[in-house]
Amino acid sequence: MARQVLPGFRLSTGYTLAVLGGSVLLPLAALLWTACELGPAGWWAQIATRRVLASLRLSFGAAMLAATIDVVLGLLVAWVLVRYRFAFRRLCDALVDLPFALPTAVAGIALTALYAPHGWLGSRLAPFGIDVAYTRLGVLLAMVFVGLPFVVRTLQPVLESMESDLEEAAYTLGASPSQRFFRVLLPLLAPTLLTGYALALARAIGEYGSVVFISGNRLFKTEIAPYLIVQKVDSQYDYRGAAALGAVMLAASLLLLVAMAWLQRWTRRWAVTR
Amino acid sequence: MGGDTLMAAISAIVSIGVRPSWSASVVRVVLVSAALMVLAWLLVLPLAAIFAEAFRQGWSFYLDAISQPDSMAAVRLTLTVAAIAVPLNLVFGLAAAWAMTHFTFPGKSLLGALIDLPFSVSPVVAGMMLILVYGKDGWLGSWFEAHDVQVIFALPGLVLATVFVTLPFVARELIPLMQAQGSEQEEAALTLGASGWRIFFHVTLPRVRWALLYGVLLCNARAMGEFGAVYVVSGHLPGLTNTLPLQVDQLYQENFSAAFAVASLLALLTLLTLGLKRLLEWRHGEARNGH
Amino acid sequence: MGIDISHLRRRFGQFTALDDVSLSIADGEFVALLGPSGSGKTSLLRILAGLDLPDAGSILRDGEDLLALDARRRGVGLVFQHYALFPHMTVAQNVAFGLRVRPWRLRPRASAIKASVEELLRRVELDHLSTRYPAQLSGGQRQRVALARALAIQPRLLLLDEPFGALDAQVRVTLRRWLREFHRSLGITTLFVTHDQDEALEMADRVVVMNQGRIEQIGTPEQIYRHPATPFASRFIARGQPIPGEVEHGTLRVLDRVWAVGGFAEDQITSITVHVRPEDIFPTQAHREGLAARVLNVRHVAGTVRASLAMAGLEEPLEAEWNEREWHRHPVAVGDVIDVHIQSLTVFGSDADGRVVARKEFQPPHGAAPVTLGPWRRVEA
Repeated sequence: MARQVLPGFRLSTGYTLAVLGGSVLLPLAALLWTACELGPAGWWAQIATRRVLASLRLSFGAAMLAATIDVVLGLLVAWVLVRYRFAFRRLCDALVDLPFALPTAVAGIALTALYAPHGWLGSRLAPFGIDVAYTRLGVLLAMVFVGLPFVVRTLQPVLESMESDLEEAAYTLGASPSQRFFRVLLPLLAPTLLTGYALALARAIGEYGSVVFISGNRLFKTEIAPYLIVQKVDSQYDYRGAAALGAVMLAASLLLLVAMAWLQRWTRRWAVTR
Repeated sequence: MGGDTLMAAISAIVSIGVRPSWSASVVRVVLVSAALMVLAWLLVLPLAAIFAEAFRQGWSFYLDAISQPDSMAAVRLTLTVAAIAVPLNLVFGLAAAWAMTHFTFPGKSLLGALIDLPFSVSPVVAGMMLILVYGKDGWLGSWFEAHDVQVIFALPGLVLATVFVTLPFVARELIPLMQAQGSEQEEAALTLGASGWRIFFHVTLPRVRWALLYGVLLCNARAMGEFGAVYVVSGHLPGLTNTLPLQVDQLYQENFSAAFAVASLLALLTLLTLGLKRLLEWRHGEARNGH
Repeated sequence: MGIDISHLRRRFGQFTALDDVSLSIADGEFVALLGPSGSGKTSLLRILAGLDLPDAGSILRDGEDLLALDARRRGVGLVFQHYALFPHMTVAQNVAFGLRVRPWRLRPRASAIKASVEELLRRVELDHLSTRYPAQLSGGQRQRVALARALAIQPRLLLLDEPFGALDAQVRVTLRRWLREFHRSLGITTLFVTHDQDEALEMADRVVVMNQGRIEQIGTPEQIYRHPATPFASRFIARGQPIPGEVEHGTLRVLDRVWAVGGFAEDQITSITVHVRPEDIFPTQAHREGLAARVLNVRHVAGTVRASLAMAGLEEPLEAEWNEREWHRHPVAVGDVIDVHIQSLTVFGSDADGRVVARKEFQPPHGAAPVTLGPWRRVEA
């Protein structure tokens, strides 16, 4: 390795590694170690209970659905924020960060208050037979809420950099509005949309605070995987069971990270150098 | 408000700006109204609900709720945790960005991935991992116990959990900016005879200060509002290890309106953060996109 | 004395930036490193400044090992291609930086710093702009601030990386002249990197031609232009154009002509390259001696006339260049079929490794050699 010319190599890498080591690497190693100690059979025994499987199904299923909804809503919001000038645009733009910055517990109780049977929205939906609070629909709603800014913020810079000249080019070549959208924009946005999807998905799978209040944590019905981990650690002191479940969640996060790195390479291939 | 006036209001809001063809402006009105409705439904309503619930029983109840000893203790603890975790991550972000942008070394891309990792790990899993290391039966638990230091269910645990979830904030703002700026100015300072600290304080820091502030702002908001990771490691003892979000959770089981009163404090912090963030972006656009 | 660079090597992964580079620079000399991008010239500059380290080789300054000193203590002034001015400091603060950051013991008093900053800014003719920020300056002004900043530390060696690269053509010409004069008044050993032949030839005392990490030739501008040592130097600096040719038993065969060439060592040669410069191609009226050429286009560029000539046996047209006066004597127009005489050729003989082992400048005699007719029909006027 060549000598480094600028000063501070050892200090900066040393501090970085020390903090990373104590707060990230060591805990990560502990989780992997505990999960490995179980062995495949032990791990499966922890996972293959009705309660755990139900929670995993709900967590992953609802998160995937929520991320999909986020992609649609996020594309709409990002498009409007980038392409149109209207009153309160800046305010709307600032608001998009709300789910990102609002403490999750606060978001959780706010959503619950709104959609509870006596809540402002809940009481209006009840006559139609729609129950949101304490149902899977509530879980989905909370996940949509936390995931939205990830899609919008991922899309915005890309939409801005595309400006409208690409569409104008397509327009001069005779493409109809729907052709311009489906043939030019959507394929170009595909990697970005997928990145936004992956980010929203990662957040939704791991989300705890926003979801546990509105979900009501009903056995087999609305228990999410993070809630089970908390239960195992907090009241059952079942660290091995928690680690087994945690390993599944961690594997999902890592998989998503790899997918996002791959997506980024895909996007970069299209990056036009100025 | 009748349907007609609503439509008129919407088209008035939407039609500020350029006026293209008729069909284009119909599309525009439809899209903008749809987006506004999504934002109102998904974001504005929950925010309004917090303040509505908080003030449902009047001002005196509100003031009472937030001045209870347990709530005040939660405010103090939250501030303490943030006061330790945020500077730690500030220095971490600077060190990591310096290492990542001025040097080449083996394992650099792995380091970059590790810095980003906490963003994609569930906070609950993070808290659990910390217990596996620092808990009573954890890897280092007995060592800490022997030295009479309690980590889990105490302040150090809360700080560790907060550091974990907020670790990437500052580094993430700084690394792309410093990468875009390159090492040339630092090299120029070096050939002019400046020492490492000089270069850092007089050349690097002034150029990244707004991005740094931006990162610290977001880091602080998350540090004060973190729930999942802290929940697992705190043991949530009222008055002792309850941070503000944990106190909200606690009150929610006992006293609905008081929970919202305390939650409104956090919501205010969020609004303040978002406002400052906007101000920073507006005043110093280069802090966000350094090229 | 001065700087002695010997056997410098630097690789970046698979890419060889410097391949056994040796060079001596005398005190007070003004040297240009000339080469295309990727030729290693900037690598050499960065190593001299201490911003990079070689894999092998040594650099001595008056016998002292320069590589043992880190960049901070080297006393080398470097002007970056894009200046690297500190955007948050004023012009005066930028220039004062190198003095202010000195260790406490060596730091001049504030008043002394102020005085020397003023003096430097006066020398670069920017004393009226000392309170401006870099963003408020033009490109040429920024360049001079960068120069003043580098000079403030009283460097024993001044390095300039593409000093005019980021400037527009007009400013470039003015600054070139200015910098040349400035160097003369300063007398400081100066090395500058450029990919612009005109710049190197016009400004430097000596030019170092680099290609693919190697030094192709070192010499005065006149030497290099008149007598390029390698096909690369010939093409890059003298605009030498390759034409097919063969050498056998003391004879040179070029464009259907055969001439005797003496003094060309043929022993180790595996390939030869023949170059002709644009200004060595003349229209001639002695038709019997000339080579037939068809004029493809004629351009009048500021006192010179350039023409593209299609010739038998050549795939690419040859470029010829005359001054206006010569052109008036033999005016040619697009479509003309003319006879040209090649006044001078340079023949390079290379060995199996591509190294030039023999080179000969050859003046084909007027009408001395036998002529073989090519596919072009000769036109009698």
